[in-house]
Amino acid sequence: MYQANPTLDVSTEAGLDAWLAVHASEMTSLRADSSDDLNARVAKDRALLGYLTDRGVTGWGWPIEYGGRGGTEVHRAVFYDQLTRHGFGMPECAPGLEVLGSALAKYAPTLAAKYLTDMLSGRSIWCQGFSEPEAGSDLAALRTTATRVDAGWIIKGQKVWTSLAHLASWCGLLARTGPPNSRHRGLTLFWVDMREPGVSVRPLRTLSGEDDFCEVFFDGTVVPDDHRVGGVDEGWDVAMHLLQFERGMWAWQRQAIMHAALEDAITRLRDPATHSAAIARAYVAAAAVRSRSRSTVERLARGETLGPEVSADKLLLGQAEHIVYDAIRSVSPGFELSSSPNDSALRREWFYSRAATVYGGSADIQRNIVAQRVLGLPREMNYA
Amino acid sequence: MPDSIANGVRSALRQLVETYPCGVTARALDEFGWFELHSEHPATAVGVLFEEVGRSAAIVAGLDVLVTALLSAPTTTAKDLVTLVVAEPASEAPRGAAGYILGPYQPTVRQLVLDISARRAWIVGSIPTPDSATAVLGIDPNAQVRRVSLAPASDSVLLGADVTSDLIDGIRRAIAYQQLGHAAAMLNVARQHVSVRFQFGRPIGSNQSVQHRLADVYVAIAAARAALDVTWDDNRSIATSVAYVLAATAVDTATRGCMQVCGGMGFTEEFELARMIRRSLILMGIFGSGDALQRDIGAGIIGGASVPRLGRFDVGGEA
Repeated sequence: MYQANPTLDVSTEAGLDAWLAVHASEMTSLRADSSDDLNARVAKDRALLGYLTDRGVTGWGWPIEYGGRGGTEVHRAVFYDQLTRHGFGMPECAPGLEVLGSALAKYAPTLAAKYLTDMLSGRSIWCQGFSEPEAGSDLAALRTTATRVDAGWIIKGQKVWTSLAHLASWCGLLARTGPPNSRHRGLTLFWVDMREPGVSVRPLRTLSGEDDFCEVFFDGTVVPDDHRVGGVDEGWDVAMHLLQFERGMWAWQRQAIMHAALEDAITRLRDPATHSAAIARAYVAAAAVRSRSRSTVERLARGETLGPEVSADKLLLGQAEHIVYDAIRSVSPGFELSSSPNDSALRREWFYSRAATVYGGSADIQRNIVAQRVLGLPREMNYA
Repeated sequence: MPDSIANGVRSALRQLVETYPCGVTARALDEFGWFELHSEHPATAVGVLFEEVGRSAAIVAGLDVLVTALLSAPTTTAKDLVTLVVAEPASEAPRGAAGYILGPYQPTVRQLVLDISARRAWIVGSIPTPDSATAVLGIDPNAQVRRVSLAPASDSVLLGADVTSDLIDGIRRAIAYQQLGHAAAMLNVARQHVSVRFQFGRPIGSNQSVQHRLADVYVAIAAARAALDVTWDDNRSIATSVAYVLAATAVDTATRGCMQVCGGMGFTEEFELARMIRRSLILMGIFGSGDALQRDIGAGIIGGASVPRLGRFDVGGEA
């Protein structure tokens, strides 16, 4: 195996930091810049992950039996943090890897062994088919069905807000296998090949100016039974398990991005004295997410199960996203009028930051969870 | 420290703090073994003591013991106690200075006069006589804060910049824990209140607007606690500054949110919130609301052209 610097142990933070510094010059073409659109960024991400995989840098924190290099969630967190610190940004596919990779590793060892390395090395992209037009915050209301047949399962229904579905090879799809009113008791997670007949994808143009997410339609798509993740009607457990990573590790990934974005902004400041208050407020907000998220990642690494308190991570993240990108907007004179690639990228990021209090369970729902399930306040009145 | 032992220490310290509503004394902390605890497990010794002082809204105590431990060898006892005098901002410390003494006072041989905004500290040998101290009434007349005029001292020794910086960080961290304790106690009071107070035939805590206010308080406290945890493995001053700002934000969010949901009760002197709010505010008067510190943080990161990533992981796994 290629090893340019056998003395650098890339499984440690210091080693990875040094490794990335040493190899930075070879990796310039793999670094996304502000003129890259989503497709170009994804292409570079894949090339970057491939390059790093060939050199033994990826896979830390993933089980050896599934093609990883062993270690814990801490290794993964360090990897994401270091990538952003060295100016590579976060690979667009990293969130899908965290959420679905964790689910496969725990509930579908055979699938994990088969597909995880493709994801780690950037060869394939996965998407998460959870939300539906009438099942967002209320995920247990979803209506996409999976019906048992000889060949496996037949999927019918529609998903929405499915990030990167138009570029994905696989979809972790939550479908109803129980009766229509079975709520969370009648759901099952499937591993669906997006290239199969009956899958159609319609990208949605978002305010960020890109096709971030999609509508996905399933019209009789067949999924073999060995591509089921977890037991039949046990999809809710799998969803709750992966939610820990969706809430916990996602916040960590975003804090890494926000620290890098702030660092970029302060190098462009024209009038430091005027802007120091906004920058300071933004930094404290980002540092709060980082601090909270660090302890959450450590809990994941110790194998603890995260409870409703992880909603605090999501709420802190939403607050920080708004504060950080508002600060960046306020120090960027061309934000509204300029057409430069850099200002266009800032606008894209600012709009994306607005989504942080909506996606993955809205801030309002997170507050309900904290109030009722952490603080033990009485539930609201039910409306029939 | 294993969790079970930490929990034992926590409840013992809590009990100790509750035994001394007029401020746990240095002697009592010494007998408790606080100095040994501090030398072996400083995070528990400092974090639990000051958070519990905050939770019980007791008299501010422990700062003298803390600065004594920070200044001295690990074998320190209460006999070597140094009294902390927090210089009034913009006073000409130590010569002709005025400052504040917090909590139960016992005459000591040495005093630490600390001017936080000027980042200067002196050890002063002369003892302020108790009659030179006047009670500070201000926003919290029961806080047992005293103002002393320091006689011009010929024997004052200016401390080095590193020691001074460590002292300021140590005190800020302690005050941040105390503010965190105040915020947590306010949240508990409000939580109980909204669960038993009925309007329109249901507890007011079942209303989403009330729930969301208290959820925001919980989140602000969680952020401050996480940032305080970070200060134990990242000894840069900015880590402490961030924790202080977040603790000040937490207690501010708690004051705002808890007073609102407690309605008229929250506006009375007899309700428990009052003591906590007043105590947190007098601390802000002495140690700052965090606003100035936040400006310093901004100037520091802009001047340094880099954004510090706080904290290190302490679980590495066995990759």
